[in-house]
Amino acid sequence: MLSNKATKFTIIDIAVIACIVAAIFVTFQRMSHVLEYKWEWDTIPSYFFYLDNLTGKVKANILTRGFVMTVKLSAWATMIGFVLGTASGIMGAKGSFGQRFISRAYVESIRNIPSLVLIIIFYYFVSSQFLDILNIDSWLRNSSNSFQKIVSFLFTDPAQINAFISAVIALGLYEGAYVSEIVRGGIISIPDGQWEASMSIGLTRQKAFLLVILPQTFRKVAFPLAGQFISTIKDSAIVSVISIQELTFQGMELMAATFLTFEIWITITLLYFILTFSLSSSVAFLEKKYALK
Amino acid sequence: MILKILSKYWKSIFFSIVITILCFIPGDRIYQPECDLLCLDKLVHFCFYFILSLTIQYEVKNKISVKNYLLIFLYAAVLGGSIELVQENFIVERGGDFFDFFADVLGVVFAFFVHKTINDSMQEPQYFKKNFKPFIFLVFIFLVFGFGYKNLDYNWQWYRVKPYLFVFKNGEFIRGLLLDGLVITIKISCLGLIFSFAIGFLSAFARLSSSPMLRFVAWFYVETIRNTPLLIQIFLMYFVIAPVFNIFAFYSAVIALSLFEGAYSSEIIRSGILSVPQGQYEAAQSLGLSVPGIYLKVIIPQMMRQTLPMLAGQSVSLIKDSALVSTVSIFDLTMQGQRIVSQTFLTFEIWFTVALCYLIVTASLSFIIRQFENRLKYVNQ
Amino acid sequence: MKKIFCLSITLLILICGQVFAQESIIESIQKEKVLRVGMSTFVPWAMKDKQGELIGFEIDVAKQLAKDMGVEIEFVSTAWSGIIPALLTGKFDLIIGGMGITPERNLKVNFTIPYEYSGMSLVANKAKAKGFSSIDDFNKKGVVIAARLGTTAEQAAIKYMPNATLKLFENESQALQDLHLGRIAAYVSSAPMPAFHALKFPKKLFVPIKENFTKEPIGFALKKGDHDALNFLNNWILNMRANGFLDERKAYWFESKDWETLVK
Repeated sequence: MLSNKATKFTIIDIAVIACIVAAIFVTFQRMSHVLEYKWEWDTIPSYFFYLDNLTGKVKANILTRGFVMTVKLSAWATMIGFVLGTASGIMGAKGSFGQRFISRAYVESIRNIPSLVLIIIFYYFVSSQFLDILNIDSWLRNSSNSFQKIVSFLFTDPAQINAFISAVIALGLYEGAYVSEIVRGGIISIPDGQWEASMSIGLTRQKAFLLVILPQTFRKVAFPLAGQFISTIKDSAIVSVISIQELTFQGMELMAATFLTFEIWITITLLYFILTFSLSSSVAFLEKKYALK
Repeated sequence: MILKILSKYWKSIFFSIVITILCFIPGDRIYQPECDLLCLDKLVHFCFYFILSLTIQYEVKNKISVKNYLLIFLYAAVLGGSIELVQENFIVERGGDFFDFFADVLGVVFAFFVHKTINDSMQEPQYFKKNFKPFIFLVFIFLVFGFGYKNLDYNWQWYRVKPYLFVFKNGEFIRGLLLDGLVITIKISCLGLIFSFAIGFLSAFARLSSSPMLRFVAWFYVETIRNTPLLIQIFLMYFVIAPVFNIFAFYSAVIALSLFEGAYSSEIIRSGILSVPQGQYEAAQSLGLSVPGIYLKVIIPQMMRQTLPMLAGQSVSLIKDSALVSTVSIFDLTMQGQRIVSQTFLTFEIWFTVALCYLIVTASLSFIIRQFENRLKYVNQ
Repeated sequence: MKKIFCLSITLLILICGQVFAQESIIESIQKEKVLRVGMSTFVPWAMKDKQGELIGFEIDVAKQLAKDMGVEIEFVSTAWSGIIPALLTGKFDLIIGGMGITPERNLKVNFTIPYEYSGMSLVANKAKAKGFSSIDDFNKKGVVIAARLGTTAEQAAIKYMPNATLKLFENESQALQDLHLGRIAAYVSSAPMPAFHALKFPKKLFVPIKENFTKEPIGFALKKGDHDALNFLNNWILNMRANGFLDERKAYWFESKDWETLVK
């Protein structure tokens, strides 16, 4: 801040590099001598894809399946969260007393409870209310095979569809509270001049909102919302406690079966990192390109 | 004489009857009282709703507006508590329950909302039409949960939860398991808060420094932490990194939590520092202050005003994320809840109580910080 | 007006949900043509093989049950500490997962007659539990032991070693990791898991106590009020005992180690 940021390598940089190298060295030293850990990286790839001896085809194994499940879960949860959050945000910004109360109550109650507790409560209490009555899994099992295949691709197979739906709705509710705040902030930040101008053209309040304010809001909140999608991917790790077969859960199962702790957790961290980092980099790139001047 | 009173207060009476019935349709399921339509229970509730409605009428007539939601809540708590006290001491047929108190509080808040809507609608004709839909929506949600409560085929046993919170033995206050967990949660959160702010500051300064290596290290740290889930980081720290350096279990969880929150705090602090205008630096330099002096005396106080609300959000986040350390067997509130549930199978009662504890802690923290913020606004302006 | 109509219809449906009589799971299983079984991974009762498919003693028993009922089988893998609430809220029909029959559990669910017996055993860290050879050695302040959350191992640990500090984990693998790292002195679990694990890592771990220090019956768990299902399952178990299926499977999974190649 005080000096201009010239890219000079000073003594501080050398010190930092030396510290990092020393840290890595010490880590490996301790791992091989104190823990006597034997690295077994060669078994890991087979947990991604394996060759089925019977059919001779390459099939996806649990890590890939978990990865795909994480993506599906996050996508659906974001969609639900988006719908809920937008409705709640609009109500909270420009609604009557009752609507603002509902929006505020929703946002405050979700934001003040840990997601873990929320998902557990939702899974046992709320989901059994509706899902048992609707009996989605038996309806799904009785439908045709091709329909089941499509549903398995989009969601999951009939055995896990109930748990999947409750996880999606719970995550969606959780994310919706944050989306609501983003949308509400976006609507409030539109200057009053826009309202007045649209009224002076002769639009009613409702039409003004739909045609003038909302499009501007979406342009403003599009990138924070993309950030929220990335957050959802990270929050989806929590649903492993209700045994949804997503990536974290598969990691725990794998660790139980093989005890290759280091390899498994490093692999899973890398998978999450690759997923979210690539998404957030693309969002940042798009943001720079299409930034509002 | 009676007719005169009735005609004067007909609104309040009508309102109280409606609310009593509405609250007892689901309430009947909760309390499962052995009494019929006109039992003492309902009469007590009716009286208190009547008092509430009278107060609101008084406010409206004298143009006092109760805008402060906290006051409403306190009022509801006082009324709810009084209902409980009266019931416990004067109605022998049904012993009061700690959780009936909460049900009563909810009922009072609900009653307040209903009354306000009806009252305001009577003054502004459009008001009722605008608020009708959300009102019906709320009633619907209320009834769904009320019916669903009984529908679940579950034996609610709220009275069994109290020993897990606290007991009074020989006049001594002994903490139950849940409160023990709460103490551990608060301990972890405090430690995590201190460390995460320290890490946040260090990392923010590293990113703003002139050394490219430091900038790279800080950037790498922030990006790695922000792109992986907290649960995975806790596992990584607990199973992979801590054994290497022989870190005690409790502290590995605290470190993982601090690192995670530190990354987010770092971004907030960095944007706060960047938002202070360049002119401040130049002015401070021209006064002859040294570099640490500039930051401590000029930049950081100005930055604090903007970043304090976001840091408040971080503290709330920290308390919520501390729930995740239960996965590595730290006996915090969530872990104690899981333990009690697995032994006694009081699933819903315990989990709702745990959620309520978190709600109370985080809501009070946000409230305190908001008051602090308001104080700061007047001082610095 | 339309909205109020829709809302009241939804309310009606919810109320009606209460009115439907609960039918036996035998009927519902035959109708759905699928048996949903709740379980949790517990080596070697149920575990995942290299292809990610479920194998184990409980898996075999459940598959045989489904075959005898003439329906498909579906396994609902659930966290153990929440498995009984999941059963009670109808997420699956039965629990076939090595669940010990205890009076506390019996207050909430019904159990079949035992199809197996198990006992508790310990696997200890050689460095941390040097020289320990009896339960009393572990029952001292300052000794840290672990058990799985919500299992009879947890209750046995509290009952027999109340002075030791108890750590609880949702998953076995986490507890075993702690054992390897020396954070805990011993891990309490149903036999034969401790012995198997000590055999795998003879340099670090050992079994301090030769016999199991508890004995408990294992049965299927199902919702209360379902007498037809209870009768069916009890008789099925008697049949399986008589024709030697249970003994044969037990010998394969618990006494031999032929299945090891499937897992790793």
